[in-house]
Amino acid sequence: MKAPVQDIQTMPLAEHRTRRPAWLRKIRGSTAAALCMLLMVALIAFGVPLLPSFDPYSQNLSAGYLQPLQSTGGQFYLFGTDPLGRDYLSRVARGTQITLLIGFSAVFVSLLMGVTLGLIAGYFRGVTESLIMGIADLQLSIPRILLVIAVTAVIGPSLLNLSLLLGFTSWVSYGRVARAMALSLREREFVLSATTQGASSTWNIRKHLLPNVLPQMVIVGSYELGLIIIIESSISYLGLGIQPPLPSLGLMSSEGQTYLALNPWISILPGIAIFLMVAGTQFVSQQFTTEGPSDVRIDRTA
Amino acid sequence: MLESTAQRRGVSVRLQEKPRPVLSVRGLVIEDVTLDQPEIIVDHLSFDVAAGSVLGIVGESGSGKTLTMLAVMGLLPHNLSVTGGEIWLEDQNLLTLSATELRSIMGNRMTMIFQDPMTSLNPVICVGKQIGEIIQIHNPAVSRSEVRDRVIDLLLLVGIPDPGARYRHFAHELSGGMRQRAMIAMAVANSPTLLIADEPTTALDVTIQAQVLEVLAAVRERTGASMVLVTHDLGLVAETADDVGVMYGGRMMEYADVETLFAHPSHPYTVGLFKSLPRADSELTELYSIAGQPPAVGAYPSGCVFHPRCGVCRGRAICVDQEPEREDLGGGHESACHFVAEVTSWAEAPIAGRGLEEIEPS
Repeated sequence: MKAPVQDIQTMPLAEHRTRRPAWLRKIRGSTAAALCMLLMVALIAFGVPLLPSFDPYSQNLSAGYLQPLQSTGGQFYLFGTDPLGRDYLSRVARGTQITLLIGFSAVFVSLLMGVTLGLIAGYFRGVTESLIMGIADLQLSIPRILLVIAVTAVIGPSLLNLSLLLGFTSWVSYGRVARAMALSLREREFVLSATTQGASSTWNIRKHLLPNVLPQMVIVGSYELGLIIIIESSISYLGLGIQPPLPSLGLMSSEGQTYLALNPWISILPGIAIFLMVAGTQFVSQQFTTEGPSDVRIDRTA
Repeated sequence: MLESTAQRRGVSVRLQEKPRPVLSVRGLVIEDVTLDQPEIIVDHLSFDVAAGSVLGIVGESGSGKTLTMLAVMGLLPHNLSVTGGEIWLEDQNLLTLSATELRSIMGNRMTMIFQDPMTSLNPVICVGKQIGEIIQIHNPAVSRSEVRDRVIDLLLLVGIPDPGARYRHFAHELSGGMRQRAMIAMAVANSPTLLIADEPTTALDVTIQAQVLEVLAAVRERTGASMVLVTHDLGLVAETADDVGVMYGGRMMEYADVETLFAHPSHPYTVGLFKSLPRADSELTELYSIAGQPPAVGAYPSGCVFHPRCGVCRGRAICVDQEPEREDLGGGHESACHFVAEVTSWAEAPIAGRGLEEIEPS
């Protein structure tokens, strides 16, 4: 009788691993879970609006406060209804859409701003760098959420304002990473080589620095997306974000507080949607950071 | 005093009768300007590169070869600056040009090939696109498909097989020789009149070196470019260069055409370099080496910078006190030594193999 240890030793290296396809083996458990979460988010945000019953706005006061999985007047409410009798599933779906819209546009704005400023600071150095990074440090010393609330109070809340504001206040993480990378990239020989071929500073930044930092920027973006969703929800929760009648997950869970004893799902369901989005993006971004494009992977089975 | 020396050495007799050189460096002075006491690193350096010819510049590490080339390209590190002299590319004094004007020359009429092709290529851009960029920088109007055609032509010219497929490859997918060929393709993309090659073959193994040299020769033949070849490799110079300049301590010690220099080296430093080469036809137990170390920047000796290590000097006062001027020995052969007449007899004295004992800590 053979001992199992010997078995493993005589086996080829690849075989005593789980026999999963190569692309699956690289995905961790947490990432798989995260992908499931994101799939659910996608279903809610983009699947639900395709349903014939999708209607986040019509009120039906006689059908208010309905618990999930109940039907009334010949209509089935999967998520129940809110105090005004609106279909809660539709409202959560539209709310998720809006949150994603704000999240992605804010990430886009901040990425654009952060990469530009960071690369300029890192490439030119000197006074330019001190100035840009000084602003970054100043901005970091003020809590982001406080800054957004303060400015929203002045310019008024709206979808566009919120997206831009969240973008403008979130560029620092991109800026710092981009600057740090630019500092080392600008000394690389291929930049010197391009310079000897007559490339201008703008050309070097655009053609040689930008493609080198872009993968890292996407990773920072995937991490920032979750944070921005939380900030947006917090601001909406406080009533300074998305304004009714547009459904907003933060505002919805805040409204549900009043009816916690009557129908806790009004608060819980938007909360779950927020959780799925944030946790999903965070776990995926974690996989990016450890096995991202900058990482050299060694395939031991090869 | 500095001015008068510049004037004295700046005028070279052999220039006037010949056609205008492609590159002419006159009395170049490079100083470290950030120090309290500005330190002269390259002192009144003059040389010419004739049209279509190759000038080899040799010397130990730290003799200012690369620095001089960076000065020509206008790419000196921030702490250094050119404080005297002129650098003429054909009819333009590069030192008087603005940054924009200089950029239009770099990569167009004058390009540089670097030592390490791995680090000189951007790892995230495919080589074809990188070569194409050099064309686009200087000719923004050229269409993409035309740029692509020209790049493929260039890849063929430098001997890269299957250029259509190689176009899309990244630096890490190419071998060292291929990368250096790609660098050469980049350097000649706009048919420059002057190529500056800073140790182009040092990072390559011997067989690839030979191939890359062939490519360089072929490319020069087609474009008619002149070249400055900076190297440690005397064999490479003998094979490739038409003229040779020997640099030491930021000064040009000897300057001659390649046959004259190898047949009649007339400076103790040049002789020392030749003697340090292992030879197949002599039996030595120990290889000669020039005693001591090249001087560190800021610690240049007085008088002739080479005198502490010189076998001809032997402590004579004139070497310690007075810097020798470059003298014309006839036929454009110049040497900066007080005792040129003694060099030949010293060179033939059987001192080879004694070198190692002479080394004293400096």
